[in-house]
Amino acid sequence: MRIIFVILFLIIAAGGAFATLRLWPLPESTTISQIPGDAKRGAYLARLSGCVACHTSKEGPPLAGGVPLRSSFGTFYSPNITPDLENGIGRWTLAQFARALRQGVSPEGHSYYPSFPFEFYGALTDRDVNDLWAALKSVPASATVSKEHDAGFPVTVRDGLKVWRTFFAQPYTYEPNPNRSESWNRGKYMVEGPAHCAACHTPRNLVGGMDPNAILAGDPTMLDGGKSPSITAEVLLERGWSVETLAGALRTGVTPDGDVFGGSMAKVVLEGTSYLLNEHLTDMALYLLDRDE
Amino acid sequence: MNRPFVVWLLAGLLTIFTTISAIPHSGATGVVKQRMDGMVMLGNQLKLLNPMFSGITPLDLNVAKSASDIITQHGGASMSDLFPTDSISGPSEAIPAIWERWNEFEKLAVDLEKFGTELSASIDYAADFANRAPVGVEANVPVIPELSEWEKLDTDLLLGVKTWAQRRSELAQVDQTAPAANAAPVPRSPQSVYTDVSATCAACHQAFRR
Repeated sequence: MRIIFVILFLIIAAGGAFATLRLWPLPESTTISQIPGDAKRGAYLARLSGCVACHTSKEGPPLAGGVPLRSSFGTFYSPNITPDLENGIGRWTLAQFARALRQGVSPEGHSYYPSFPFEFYGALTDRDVNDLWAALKSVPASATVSKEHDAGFPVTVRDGLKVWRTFFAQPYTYEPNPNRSESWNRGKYMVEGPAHCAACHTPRNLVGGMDPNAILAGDPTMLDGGKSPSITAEVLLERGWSVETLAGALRTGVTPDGDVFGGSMAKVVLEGTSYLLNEHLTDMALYLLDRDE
Repeated sequence: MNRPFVVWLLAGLLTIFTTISAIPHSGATGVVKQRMDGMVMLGNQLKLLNPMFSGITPLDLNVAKSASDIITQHGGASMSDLFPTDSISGPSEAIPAIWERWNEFEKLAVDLEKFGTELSASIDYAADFANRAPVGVEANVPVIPELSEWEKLDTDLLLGVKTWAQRRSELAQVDQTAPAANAAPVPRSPQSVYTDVSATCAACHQAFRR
């Protein structure tokens, strides 16, 4: 008799947990102004934000997805974001795109996994989003089917992400510092926002949330098994980096001692920062070497 | 403890320490040591070239020429021959992917040699140009202004629809004035070629190094 009560209790508890997760709220959708998009500017943002690096596999067409992001929570595959009507985002509206990008919520109302760094894209302006939208619509459509993520229970319980977001997500809001130069503020926006440096260079807790007290302090145990160095101003200056050498390294991947970035940072340079204007690399270096820490 | 013993003890410890210090790369031997030494040599060349091509120091054509020749010598088979199958031991930073994707690895080694050669030729051209006596500008030759960084980028390149090689080819066509009948093709600028050198190093390190 007792065992029946235990089983009943467990069923009711499970049902309650299920209902709680289903009803747990996601952020309300924000509006987006429709502005004529500049596709070239959007394409530049796509490089800065890592869209091309993450959504274009070696074997596949541009932005057709399939790039694996391996972590201790499973392997997450980037989806097809070409304008294909069936397998891409061809049927999306601008508002759906804006919500996906800045809030990490799909048109179906599901949260994206944080393998998609939506926390950092929250600061993208309406102009940025419209430009990115114009750029993505210019890419040749690909019918590549997006791969399913390879993760186990409980990671596969999508609604659990809503709880994760409430306690661990850190959506970025850009606030320029009026006492700093235009260059410094541009660097701040890029580093803290679309370039999402903290995603790799910040230690994470057991459930993958970034440590808010150690932003850019390096991650000795990255989720993919690698490690990232500290890039706080104090450490960079101690190691002898200057604005010129740091901007140069972001351009070429070559460090002042003649070594070359390895691992995922080499990919960041090859497929991202090597395309950026020298002025913007200098902005980022200037900010990194003189952050308000 | 008597003094001669202490002196001998210190001498012995010093000898051991010096011997240990003299073993480079924490005990690497054989082909692993050879390629590590080669990588150090390559790194030394990039250390020289990077400030010049980052605008930190002036471009010294003699130094750049020497560095590019050394890069050429360490590329191609000189590089790939130092990676016999599964030669990972001790302090090696090589990863098994090298032999799983040998064609890709070998191509990068060949590319390094190719770009080193191209860089050397580009520097020769720049040096030759700098040494020529200045001539007056011909009145009817149109002057094509240098494209800005932004102008060199285009949407398809940025989105990965087009490669840098394709974009450069387009830009080279745009940049042509009415050439003389026997004019030799102008090589790429040393800056442009150096970008490919460093990108090749980065690509290999990204894919094949711990």
